[in-house]
Amino acid sequence: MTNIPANLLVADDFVASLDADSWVYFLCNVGDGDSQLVLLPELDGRRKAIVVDAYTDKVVRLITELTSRGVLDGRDDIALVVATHPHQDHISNMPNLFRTHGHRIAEFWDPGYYHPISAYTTLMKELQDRHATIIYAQPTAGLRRWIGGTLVTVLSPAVGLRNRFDSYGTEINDSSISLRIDHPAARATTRDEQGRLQEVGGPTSTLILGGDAQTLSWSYVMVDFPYLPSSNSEAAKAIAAATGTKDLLNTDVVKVSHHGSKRGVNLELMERFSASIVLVSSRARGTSSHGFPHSLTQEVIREVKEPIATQHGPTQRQDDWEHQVYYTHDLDDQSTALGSIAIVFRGESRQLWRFQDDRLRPIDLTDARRRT
Amino acid sequence: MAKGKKLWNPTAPERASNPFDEIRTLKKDRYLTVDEIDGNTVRVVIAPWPSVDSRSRLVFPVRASEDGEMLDDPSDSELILDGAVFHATVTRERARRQQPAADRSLRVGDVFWFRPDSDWLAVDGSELEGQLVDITYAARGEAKAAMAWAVTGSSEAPADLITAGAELDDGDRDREKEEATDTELAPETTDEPARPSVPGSVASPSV
Repeated sequence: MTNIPANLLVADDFVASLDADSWVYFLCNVGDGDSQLVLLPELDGRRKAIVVDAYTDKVVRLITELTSRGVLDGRDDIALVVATHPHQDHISNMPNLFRTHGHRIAEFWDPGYYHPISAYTTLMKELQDRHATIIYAQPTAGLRRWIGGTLVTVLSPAVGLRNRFDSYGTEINDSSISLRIDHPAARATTRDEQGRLQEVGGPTSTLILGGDAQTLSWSYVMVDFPYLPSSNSEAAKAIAAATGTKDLLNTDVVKVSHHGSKRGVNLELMERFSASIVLVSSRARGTSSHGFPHSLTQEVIREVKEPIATQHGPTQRQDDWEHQVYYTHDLDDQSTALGSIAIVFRGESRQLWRFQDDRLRPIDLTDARRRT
Repeated sequence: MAKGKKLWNPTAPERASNPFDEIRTLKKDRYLTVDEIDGNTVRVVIAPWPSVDSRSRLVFPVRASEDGEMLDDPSDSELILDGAVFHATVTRERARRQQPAADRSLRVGDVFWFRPDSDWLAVDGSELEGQLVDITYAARGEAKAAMAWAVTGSSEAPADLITAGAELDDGDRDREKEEATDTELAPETTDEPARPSVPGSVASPSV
């Protein structure tokens, strides 16, 4: 595998590139952990954000940076904060997030898995102190929450897993909240001159954030969000009528669960996602104390993109970047760290940006480079 | 932190002896949690020893990203240990303190009071050098109570969020405070939150 050619990434003005209808997913370069932010499209001239996990304080500083550049206005603009599960590498800076931007947060979700690390206890204390202003929920699979024109669907944990938390009968990674984010949530519906209902608007873009969910959790997800091929059966017709005929796990972009560990995803799950863009948040192998990303999972991702397992003869694969598989620890062919990732969704287009930050340096939006 | 805050003294299950009847907690003590187990690798998260606030909640120091430099690298507070070596240490220390089920397996969510032998938290062959006491019972109870208080916004949690044996009721806390005040084994008072004395890293950790 070779690194991304530097000439495929050009310096550009990230903030100026955003129009009112575009929305953005940031995957911060924090090493073996997760810190993510979803910047929603403008509604009545204002944007809101969703924060998903906070390992280092990079996402906290990103909010400050977006505010200073006028992308966020600092007033009740953090619609939702999600702590996918209470591992250190997902919540260690959640208390800091609440201390720094708590007055802007409307709602907080976690799986309800209590874990006695200091960050969890402190996070709960911060929530208690803001009980009057922040809604606190512990969602399970199937919950759907609309924020403006954006739909957030909880894929996991399943109720069956949640009911085992109290006995520690669920492995902590399998307590993860996994999310599906769709925008626009549904095409706007209007009436024509004859009073008939008509759908208007563009296609929906989808993002799936996998938390650290492992095989057990994903097995429930695959049951709860099925793919049933079209047939003439009454059941298939009924499901198609209710949901359309698409696979409920199909997505444009996926953040692979558990930093690309061998227990995070398997081939069938990645086939269900069938994502155009696949993202992994981890240190480079050799520097990760957990050995992330595991080669087994990398091969699974590649096999979905370029199925060669059943072929005879040479099996040379294309580079990951050619298949739009990106890692937060990516380097370009000049050995420059590409750093944090942003995907800008605009209609049917998806644009990749990198910010050249190393693991411990804040994102500077003026360092943005856009993939051509 | 306001002057005079008490350091936390963990409790023990009913009918079990409490090592903290004899141990006086100090600022240099550390709060160790088993955060992840992957095969024979154990990730332990280290925090300064907590104090207790006026609402009887555990308080760990928090910094805010308001200005200045990036905050400490959170991975500096993580140790990657050899699971077998750490389990042997834990088993030996549980037995020495006559704690129940001394040889039970390590689990995510196990918590230990740790007093390092020196200011530097030396790790030799993945073995922690210092005194260790299993405080999982008390720490899980505190975490669960913290969640319940976050749900309700008060320190009066709904009954169904607190299971028997996992909580401290206000009476227990009041008695604990009175006892602490009246005996020489009282938790130490401190003006400052306990903080790492020297920055460190996973490779060369220090707290």
